[in-house]
Amino acid sequence: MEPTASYRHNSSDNDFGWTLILTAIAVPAASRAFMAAADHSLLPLPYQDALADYLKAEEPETWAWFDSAEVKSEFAENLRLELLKQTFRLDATTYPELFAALHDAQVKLGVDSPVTIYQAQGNNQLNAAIYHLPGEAHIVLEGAVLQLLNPAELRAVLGHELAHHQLWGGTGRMLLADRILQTMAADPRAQPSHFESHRLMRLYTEIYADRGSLRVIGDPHVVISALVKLATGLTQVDPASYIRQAEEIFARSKVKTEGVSHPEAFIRARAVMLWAENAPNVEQEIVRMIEGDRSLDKLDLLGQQRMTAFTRRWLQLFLRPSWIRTDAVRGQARLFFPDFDFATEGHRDDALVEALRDASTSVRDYFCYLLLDFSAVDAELEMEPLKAAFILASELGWDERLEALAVKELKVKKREAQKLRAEARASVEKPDAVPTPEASA
Amino acid sequence: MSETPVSAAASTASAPLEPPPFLAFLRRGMEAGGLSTDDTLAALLPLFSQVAEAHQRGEVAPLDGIAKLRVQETRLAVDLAEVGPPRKNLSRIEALQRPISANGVEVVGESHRTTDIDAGRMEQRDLWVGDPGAELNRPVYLPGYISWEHRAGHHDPITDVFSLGLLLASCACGLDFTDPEDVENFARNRDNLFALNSQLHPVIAGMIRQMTELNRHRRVQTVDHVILRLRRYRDQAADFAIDFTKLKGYRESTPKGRGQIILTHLRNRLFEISRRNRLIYYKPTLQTLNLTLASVPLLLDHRNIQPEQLFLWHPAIARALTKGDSIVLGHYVRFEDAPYAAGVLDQIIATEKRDRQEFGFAQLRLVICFLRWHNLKESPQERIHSPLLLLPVELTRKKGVRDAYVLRPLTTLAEVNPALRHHLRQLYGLNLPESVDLAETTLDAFHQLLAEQIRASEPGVTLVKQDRPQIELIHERARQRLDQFRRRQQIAARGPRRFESFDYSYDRDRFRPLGLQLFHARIKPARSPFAQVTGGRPVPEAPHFRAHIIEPAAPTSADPRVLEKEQQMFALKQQSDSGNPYAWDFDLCNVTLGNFNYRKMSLVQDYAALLEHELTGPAFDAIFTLTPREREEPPVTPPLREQFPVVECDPTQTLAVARARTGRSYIIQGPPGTGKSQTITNLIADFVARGKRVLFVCEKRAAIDVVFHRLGRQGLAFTTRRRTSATSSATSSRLTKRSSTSRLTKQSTFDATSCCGRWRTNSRRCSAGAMRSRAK
Repeated sequence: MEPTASYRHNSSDNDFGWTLILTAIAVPAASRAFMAAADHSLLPLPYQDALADYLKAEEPETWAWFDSAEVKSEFAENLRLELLKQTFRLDATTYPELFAALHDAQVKLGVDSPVTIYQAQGNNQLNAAIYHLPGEAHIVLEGAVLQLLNPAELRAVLGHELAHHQLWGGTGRMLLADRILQTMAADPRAQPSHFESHRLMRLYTEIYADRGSLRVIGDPHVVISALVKLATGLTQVDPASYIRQAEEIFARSKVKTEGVSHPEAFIRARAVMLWAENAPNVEQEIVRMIEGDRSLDKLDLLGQQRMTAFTRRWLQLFLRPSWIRTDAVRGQARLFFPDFDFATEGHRDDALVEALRDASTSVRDYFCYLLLDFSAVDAELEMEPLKAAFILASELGWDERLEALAVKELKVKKREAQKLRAEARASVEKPDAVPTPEASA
Repeated sequence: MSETPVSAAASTASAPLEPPPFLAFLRRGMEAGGLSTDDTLAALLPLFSQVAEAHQRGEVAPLDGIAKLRVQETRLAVDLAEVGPPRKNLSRIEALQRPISANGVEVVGESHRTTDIDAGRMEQRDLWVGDPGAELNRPVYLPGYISWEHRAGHHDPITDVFSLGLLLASCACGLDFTDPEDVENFARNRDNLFALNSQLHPVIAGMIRQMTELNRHRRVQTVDHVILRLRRYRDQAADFAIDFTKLKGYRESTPKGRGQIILTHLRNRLFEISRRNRLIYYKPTLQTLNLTLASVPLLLDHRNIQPEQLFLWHPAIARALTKGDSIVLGHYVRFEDAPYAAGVLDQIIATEKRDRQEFGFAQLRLVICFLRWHNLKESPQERIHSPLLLLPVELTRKKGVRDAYVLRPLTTLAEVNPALRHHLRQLYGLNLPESVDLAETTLDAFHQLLAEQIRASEPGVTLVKQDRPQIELIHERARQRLDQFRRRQQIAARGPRRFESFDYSYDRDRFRPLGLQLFHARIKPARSPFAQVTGGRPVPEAPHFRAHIIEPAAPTSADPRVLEKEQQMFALKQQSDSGNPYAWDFDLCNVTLGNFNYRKMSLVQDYAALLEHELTGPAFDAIFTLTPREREEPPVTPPLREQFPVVECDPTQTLAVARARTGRSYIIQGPPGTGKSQTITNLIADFVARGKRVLFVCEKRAAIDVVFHRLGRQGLAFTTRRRTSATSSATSSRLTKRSSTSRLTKQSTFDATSCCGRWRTNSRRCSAGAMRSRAK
């Protein structure tokens, strides 16, 4: 039943009506120092793990139901037949180099299921794809892959494809997660976060597969040259120059991927390099390239879970003074969390403040709006909650934004808002000089 | 350069049988009852943007006539291939324009009057309308959707503004400018387009005027500016200082008729029947709780639901509510299945408390019955959901390990939603009672009464009583396709769904804060769309946040590649929408608790009563002078020893106080902080000092408090008594104030209600109402 992965993004329909591709590969250069990189064990990326855990814990029924599905033999048979009808099957006697490369990749990745390789007909676009069935893999090469790639690059591409197979095999946990996400995203009722989670899962899976590629070949330059060759069709590629090009892009701006199924080649190239060099913070850097600034519109399920927890802690922090807990405020808090529990007076949450410090503007606005909600919900408290809101906001440097929003949404007079902000600034800078909201209560 | 041909004529010649698309569009719109403001803007704004883009590129749009205008469904557009460079003939333009931009004076009108004495008729022809055949000798309006500049061989962006203005006027007022009569009609009424379309939005009217100025210097200069203003037309304060002389029919009326026109106008201004009126167009918010919905257990099998478990108008609840017994909501409301309920109830309690403090009375009502109906005259396809019967109740929270919410009816008298009552009377002539005593009348009887009245007005309408919640059974089927690669493409093609925009407000009357909405729409982790069908617990979801979209189930597939799972679920049907505008519902299955604000309705009713009985009063006549009146002597500042200010007072305020002594009615109007309350304080002190009694009436308690405390600070508290009233017919808080003289003996317990009764039948109330609405 499963899916395919392809080496690179394929925008046009192929003869199979699907695309699944793994691509990219490189010319081998001498490996030298990079050999060490191959020793990284090939584990799912933190995001993949976390999302699978989330689905299993939060959607247990769905998880169980998908888990109960078995690939029916009719389907497997059908797929094999379709491949035979639409492709040209390659065999070991005619393509000894190819199968030597395959064998090598299988050994390095610990894949022992039988693998069949096909050449697609009538499709000149360069790509490679894998069709995964439990216990067997079918790799389809498209276009002039065999002519274009040298043996090392070929191994890298096969490594990428087999890494998909390896990821989806085993306990089948990642396969299950992938299928659930795919089904969710295809459902007409899907929420944007389902779509985004699915997208991120696919992007991280490509990063994972590139690591598989690196594990097989050991030299990131080979991986990158295969990547560039399949993306461009060039016969001569200097991976070092492409790496410089990628670094230049990142030096100029904080880029993140806009890809839907595959990250852009320069991101993949850089991710492979960082991994190979065992760079410090490699995982964080990859997260940044894949997820970027997390804007409120682009939250995935894990982002939603994280932000929900932040929302609760933010409200606990803001609503800590006992004077603020009027019935209206309590009622409002329960509209967020029916089981909302107030923190004790004097509660602090420096970790939250730190976590929010670099928030994107839309996230910042959301947290400011939360302050407005609770500043306006009970008119009896007059300006006191807004005062407290300014103090909290200025700890994060959000007071300017809060001032603008208070004027716009709560119709606070500009001068008054400025005054509140100035007082809040003063109290944050000199905590003893001005009474804290608790003290003034 | 010679005149360019009138393209409208050219197009008629080439296709004599088919009108240009724009005219066909316009006629369709007129046949459908005219284009609303939003329809007009939806049709025109895309065109405006197109033209603005052309202008940015230094080109102009082919708007000389309407031949090149395309209609795409409900939108207008020009063919981009027709966009071209401007034509210049500035010297001729300036020559033609000179007469109207002459120094010192401005010519604003020119007309020919032909009086036919034999027939006793006078004909007036506006000379701003030009004869298409005659030579152009000054700027005029021309038939055929062209500008005088086109005729003069000039076409630049400012010319396009004029053409777009004609299109806007044409759509908004239903005028066909290929017809010279309509052009004349427009030219004559350009300053008061409301005479052509009384529903016209004032911002649109103002915009048309500015766009269709003949004088190019006075015209709006860029289309961008127009787009900006039109997009935001709702945000702009229309100028409400209405010049009554411009009301339709005013000039022609008798003095008495004029009084009626003014009253009708004032009443309509208070009473909005637009979609913003939530008493008519009800929409659930976080300030209301649908008790029926919250009492439906989230069971998977609907057969296990017992009607007596639900909060709707069944005998047990009817008995409790008519006897005035308390109902513990926990018996019905499933707090475990509807976790949002407790928060909403807390909110409702807080709002109720605030209203009581601010206005002096609570506005908490239990909607026991909704009416689902259609406005057959204006928008027959739209189903309107309006509260019908509202019972004043009290909600308290008893603290405990688990808080208990107790609902207690305050009376057995259920009010008929005054806004709906008024609206139905205007629309269909239905005469609904002001209230229904549930102890005497059953809801069945009320249903009968309403049904009969509706039948008498429109025999086609049936009013069906819904006393059992309607549920929809959903046989949901989940299918796993094992060939998922096909889906990948679908997803990629569909792309992520866009977020809806948020309808939020921090106003105290319609508090729908954004943070909470963002939380529920974007932050709270989304459940899997097939969580439920795969056996998950039903998701308790506050109904206000997300509409549940149910896709029709696809036919069962015999495809072996599909793994299926089926689950039967049910959903409470909230809007029975048969699509039949003649099938109305008398709905007892959406019992809803909330604070409903209809303070202004008492004034609307007063106006209606005044209109009906044609009452007159000296106060009203004095303010809205309908007949010539004597020139008023300006009041003179009284000598110092006859002034009794208790708070600071400037000379104009002293004059205002002095004017009150003349006994004439007048209005004090001003922006906030200009000293109105101060003047009132002095006014009251002035009357008290001269031994008079004063009744001070005000909508908001806060304003009364200001004056009360000011008097109190001057040691005059002993002379005043503050009263508030909670009855719906006397929704104003009152401050009664009298001197401590012997007069009090006559009526020592001053009765605010009886006083109110007197006022209601007295047209003096009218000036109070006018004063209030002007002060807003």
